[in-house]
Amino acid sequence: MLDLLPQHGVGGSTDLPVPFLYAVVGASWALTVSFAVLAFAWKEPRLQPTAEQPGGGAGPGAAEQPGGGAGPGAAEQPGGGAGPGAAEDREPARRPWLAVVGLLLAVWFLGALFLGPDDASNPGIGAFYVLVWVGLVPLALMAGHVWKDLSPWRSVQWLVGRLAGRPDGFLVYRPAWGYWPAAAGLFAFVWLELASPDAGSVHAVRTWVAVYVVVTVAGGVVFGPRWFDRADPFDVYSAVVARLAPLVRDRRFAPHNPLRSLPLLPVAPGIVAAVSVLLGSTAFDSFSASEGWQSAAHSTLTTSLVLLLFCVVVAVAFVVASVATGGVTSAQRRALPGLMAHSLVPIVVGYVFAHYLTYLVERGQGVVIGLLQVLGTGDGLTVSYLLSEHPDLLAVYKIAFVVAGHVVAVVAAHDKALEVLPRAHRLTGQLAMLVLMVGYTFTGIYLLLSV
Amino acid sequence: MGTSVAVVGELSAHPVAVLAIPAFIPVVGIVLTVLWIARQDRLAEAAEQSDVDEPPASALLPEAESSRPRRPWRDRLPRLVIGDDE
Repeated sequence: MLDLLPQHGVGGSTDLPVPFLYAVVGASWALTVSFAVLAFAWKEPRLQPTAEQPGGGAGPGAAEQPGGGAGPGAAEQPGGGAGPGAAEDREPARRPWLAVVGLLLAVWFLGALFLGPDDASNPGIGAFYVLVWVGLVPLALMAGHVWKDLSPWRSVQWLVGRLAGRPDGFLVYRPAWGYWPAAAGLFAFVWLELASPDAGSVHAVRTWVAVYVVVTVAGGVVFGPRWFDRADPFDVYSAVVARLAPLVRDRRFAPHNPLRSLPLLPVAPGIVAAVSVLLGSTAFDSFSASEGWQSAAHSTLTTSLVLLLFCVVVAVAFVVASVATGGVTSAQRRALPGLMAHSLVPIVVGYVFAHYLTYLVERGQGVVIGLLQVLGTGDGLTVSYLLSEHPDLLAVYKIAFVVAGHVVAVVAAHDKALEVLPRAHRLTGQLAMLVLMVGYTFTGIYLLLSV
Repeated sequence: MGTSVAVVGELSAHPVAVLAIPAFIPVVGIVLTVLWIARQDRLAEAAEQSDVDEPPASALLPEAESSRPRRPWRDRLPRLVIGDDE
C-alpha cells in the first residue's frame, strides 16, 4: 500500500496541460457567475420535496411555510429535518439476494485480507482502500444506497436480532448522538490512510478492520438498525452520496432530478462534522503530497493534528458561513448549518472523483486482478492505464469534477436558502456561503493541481 | 565581459496570494453589489415607511408612488430589504 498512497490522484501541475492560472481563476469565476445568474433567475425555491416523493419532507417548519423563512419547525427541531431517521424508516426493506451477495463479497475480501500474504502484495489491502472506500462513491451514485442491502453487518444484526427476539436492538439509539459516531469512524479511517505510521501495513489494516467489524456488529446488535444509519462510517458515507443518485431513490429504480433528493439528507447532530471529515481529509491528502510537507519528517502526532485541523477548518468555515445571516432567531440560526449540510455533498463527490479517479480506475483494476487470482483466476489480465496515458483528458476531468461539484453545491445552497431564510435576507444571507464556496474551489484546485 | 542586469524593486509575493487576487475579484464585486442594493432598498423602505406615517400635503398631489424615482433594472432584482420579515 505504501506504493499506492503517493499515487492518489495521479498527476500534478507538471503533467496537466491546462494552464494553472486559468484553471484556478476560471473555476472561481464560474462559481461567482453561477451565483449571479441564480440571484436573478431563481427567486423561489424549486427543489422542495413533492408529494409523490417517498421519504420527502424537509421538515415541518419548511413544509408549513413555503418560502417563508426558517419557520418554527426548523427552529424547534434541533437539526431541523423531518425528525432523525424519519426518511430511513419509510424506506423499503433490504433485498435478501443483495444481502447474500454482500455476505459473499465480505467473505471474499476479508478472506483475502486475513488469509493472504503478510506483505504489500496482499490484495485485501487494495480491496479495502480502493474498492470499498473509493469505489463506494460511484457505487452509491449509480445504484443509490445499495450499501444498506449489501452490508454484511446489517445481515448479522438481522440474524442475531431475530434469534434473540430483539430485531430493533436492546437499547434505543439516542437522537442526540446523531452522526457523531459516524464522524468518528470516518476520521478513524482517514487517520489510518493518511496519518498512521504505516498505512500500507497488512497488520495495521487487519487491526483496523477487526476493530471496525466488532464495534459495528456489537453496536448494531445493541442499538438495532439505527446504529448503521448513524454510526457505521461506510454506511453513512454511502447514504450521504446516494442522495445524488439520479436513477435510484430510496434504493429502488426511479429516475429523478438528484437536486430534489439531495435536500432529503436526514439532518441530525454531527452531519456537518461527518461531511467535513470527508472534505477536509481529501484536502489534506493533496496537501500532504506537496513538496513542502514531504520535505520534512513529521511525527504521527503532528500529522494527525494537521489532518484534524483540516477537517475542523472545513467544518468551522461552513458553520460560520451558514449562520451569517440576519432576520433569524438564535434557535433558527443554530439549525442552519444542519439544514445547509447537504450542499457539501456535491463538493465531496466532485473532489473524490477529481482526486481519486485514476486511483480507482487504474489501481482498481490491479486490485480486482489480485482478488481474482485469490480464487485461482485472473491470470493474463493486465491493467489499462488509459487515463494516465492521456493527461489532457485527465486534467479536464479533474477540473470539471471540482467545478461541477461546487456549482451544484451553490444551486443546492441557494434553493435551501430561499426556503429557510426570511425573504429580506435571501440573498444577503448567502453571501458568506458564496465566498466560502469560492474559497473551497480556489483551495481545492490549487491543492489538486499544484502538488 | 558579461552583461549584468541590476534588479531594481523586484516584487515578490507568494503565488497563492497572487492567484487569489484575480480569482476573488468577481466575488468581491458581487458581494459589494448585493450589499449596496440591500442598503439602498432598506433606505427606500424606511423612506416609504416615513411617508406613510406623515399626512399627505395635499389631496390634489399625485400619488407618492409616482413621485419616487423609477428603478426599472433594480425592480427586477429580488427584494433585499434588511430587517423586513414580511
